[in-house]
Amino acid sequence: MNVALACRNLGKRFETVQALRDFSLSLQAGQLLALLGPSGCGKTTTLRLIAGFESPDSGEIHIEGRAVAGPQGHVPPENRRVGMVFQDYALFPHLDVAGNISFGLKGSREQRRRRTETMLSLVGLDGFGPRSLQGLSGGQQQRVALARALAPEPALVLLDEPFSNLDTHLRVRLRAEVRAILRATGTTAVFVTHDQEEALSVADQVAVMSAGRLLQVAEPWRLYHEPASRAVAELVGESNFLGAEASGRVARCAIGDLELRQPAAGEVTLLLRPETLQVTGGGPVRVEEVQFFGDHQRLQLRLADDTALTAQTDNSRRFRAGQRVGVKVNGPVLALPV
Amino acid sequence: MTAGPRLPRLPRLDRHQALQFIAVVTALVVLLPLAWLVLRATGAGVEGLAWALRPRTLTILANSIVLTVTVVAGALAIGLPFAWLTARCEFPLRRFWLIAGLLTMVVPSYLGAVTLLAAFGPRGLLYDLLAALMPLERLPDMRGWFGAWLSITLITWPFIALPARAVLLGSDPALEEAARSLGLGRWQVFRRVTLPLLRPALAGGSLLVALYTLSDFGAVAVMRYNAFTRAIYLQYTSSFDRERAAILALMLILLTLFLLWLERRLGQQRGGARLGAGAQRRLELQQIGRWRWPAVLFCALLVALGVALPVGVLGSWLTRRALFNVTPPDMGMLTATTASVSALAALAAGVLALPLALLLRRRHSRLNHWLVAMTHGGNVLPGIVVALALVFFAARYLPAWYQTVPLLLLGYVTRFLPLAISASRGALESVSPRLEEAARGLGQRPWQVVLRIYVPLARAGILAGIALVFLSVMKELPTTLVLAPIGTRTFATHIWSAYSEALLSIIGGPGLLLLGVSALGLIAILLRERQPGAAPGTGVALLRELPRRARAHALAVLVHLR
Repeated sequence: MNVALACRNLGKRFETVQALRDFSLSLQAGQLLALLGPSGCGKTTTLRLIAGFESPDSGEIHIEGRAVAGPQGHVPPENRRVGMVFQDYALFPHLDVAGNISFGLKGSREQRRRRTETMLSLVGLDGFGPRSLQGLSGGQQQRVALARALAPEPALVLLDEPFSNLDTHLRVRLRAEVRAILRATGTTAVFVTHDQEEALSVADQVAVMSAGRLLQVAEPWRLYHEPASRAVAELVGESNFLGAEASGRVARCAIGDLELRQPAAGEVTLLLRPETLQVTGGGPVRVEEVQFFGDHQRLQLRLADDTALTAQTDNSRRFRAGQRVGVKVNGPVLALPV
Repeated sequence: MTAGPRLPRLPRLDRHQALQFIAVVTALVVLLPLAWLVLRATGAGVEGLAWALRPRTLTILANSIVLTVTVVAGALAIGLPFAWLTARCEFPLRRFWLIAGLLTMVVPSYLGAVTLLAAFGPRGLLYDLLAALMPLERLPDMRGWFGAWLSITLITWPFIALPARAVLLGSDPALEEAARSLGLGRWQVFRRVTLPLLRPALAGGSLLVALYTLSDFGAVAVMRYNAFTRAIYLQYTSSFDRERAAILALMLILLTLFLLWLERRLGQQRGGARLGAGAQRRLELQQIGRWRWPAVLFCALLVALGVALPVGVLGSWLTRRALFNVTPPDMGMLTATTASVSALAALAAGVLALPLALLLRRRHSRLNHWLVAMTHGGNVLPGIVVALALVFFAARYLPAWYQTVPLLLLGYVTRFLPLAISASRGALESVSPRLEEAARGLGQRPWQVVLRIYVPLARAGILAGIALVFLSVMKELPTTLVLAPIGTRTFATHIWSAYSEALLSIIGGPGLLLLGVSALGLIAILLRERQPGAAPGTGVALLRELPRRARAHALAVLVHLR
């Protein structure tokens, strides 16, 4: 497999803010990468650097092996073969749907028309070509924006918070659709999101960012189960952190001796995901609060040494605040450096 | 008394109908004189038509059209680059040029023309300078088409620049970025994205410039260019041939209506509105490198000709000793007259505008819009036409009003009421209808809601409207010229008659005062709008809404900032 996108040691500063520092990443062709992080973490800056709307202060960017930014110079956005889907879609209001999609196409009128038709049916908008944008729903505008970006067959598609303007119900549906379209066309894509569920469910690779730094890049499954640091664990999924003393495969902590995924030694922090905690009847742990969600419930627990824990259990057993319970952990746990 | 809940009394005339009644009366007052004018013109019948189709009359039509087209071209050539520079480019003194450039809008056209002529005329200031250096008989006479074109272009280009700048600042930068990412270079992006987005603003601005040029009396009269407005006035004053003046006026009305029809057509087209929500990034200014200096030169030239020149020339007249024994103007009397007629007209317009603006706010029905649109007739038609219509009408049906101050005030209100309506309307629209509902729920009657909710909350806009009318009346030439009783002189008519009698030295004082007050007014309105919570709907703020909203009366506000 060849590398579609490579960023090396990128840095970017805006006046007083270091928006990005030492950012390195590479992405295989055909893969879908999510840039995940809280707002202001530098993910949109990264996207704009790749697209060529900004140029990095340091480092370089290669697209399909060609240097587009770095010491050799700056390739303008129009020569990068990078398609972009903007957060508010940025559809051209003076053009109709077909006019928007064919905007970046070259070639004869007939070729452009055919390509536009293909794109329309790819995104499920057959027959919408002559429509004006005004009548389109948010989801339809989103699809037009995607079709416009894909039409010139770019080497890479960038999507900036593509689903943030849609309501929850539509978002879930469109996520799957967009993913299917990108897969069907074999497009390499990078999308920015602050929604971890979106990142985990859509992407092949998730890059977690915080305060201008890249913390970890991994497949969703690995990212969730084996975060590289406490910071990543906090950004992805819910976590309980528990101090422990490790020796080999065993760690001793407030809820007893637990089995580790990998051997460790000395002081460590254990990552206990709420759904790995199993709550049993009778024990030293106090139930402080119960939140019932229908299909599952969430318990706020307090251990004898006053440590707070969150546990998520199925809906089969009823718990009440004030009740005393026991806690066990399912499976081996991950030890993080303190 | 019977038991049970008391039924509310049925209103004899509900508030909505009362407002409509006011609107109908206002529309009639505005339209009746115009209708009479049209009747007079058409009364001439076949003979009149023959006169209208004479080559000499058609020359006037051609003159007006030529002037209008060339002024629009000139204003576009200046306004678009100016908008681009001040909105998108980094160059020295950018903000200063913007404000100084906008100040050209406060120069009344007659004052601009008079000072241009004084500077560049055959024996003007430039001649004095050059003649000292070399033997020179005289400079070419700029009067006629060139002088009229230059004077009007120099004060109308902001009508192009302002809406264009608003679009350049307000459009989503992502649109241009999207085009770049789809493979377009800078120039292609301008041609295929930016220009189409600008088109509604440019078209709207151009029509406004065209309407202004058609209706301008001052510059055309000073430069002796025989366009409609001057021809009508000459016909009226020299020959007192009312029928022929009426025929010319009707031709001008038809030309204006044609332009308004075009405006409506364009207004229905799609604008450059943003789709979707989402945070908008700030635009970054382009670095233009070596082009900085030509940019500065361009702006400096505009400011020099449009602002510095009138002020400088007026100042020189103020300080120069009169050649002949000319009695200096009685500034106290002039100021008192100008201020009192302006204030009375402004107050009347402000009070009358409130019910009309409320009517538009209450029900967006077709009928209401038409009623209020009718009251705009006095504003969009040339001042000279409206004034003549009133004179003819009063001479025939209201002889007691003929040559009186009340008729003059009626003329002003007819001309400038729409300014007050636009300003109040904008402010009223920013008041949430929930507030009215809440007040009604708390037991307030409709008129109490108006006094206790709308008036206090929309105060800024209502006052801005009154101020705008005041400034406009202060500068208005044709209406005052035609309607003012003998002996009633405002700054505008004083300047006009001093110019006609070639007594330039006595123009300095009133001219500078006029410019000073107008400039302060414009700056006050601009500053107001920079405050958070200021009423939208007046002055430049309107332009932000331009591509989407009805432009005609919004822009009319700006026209009359001058």
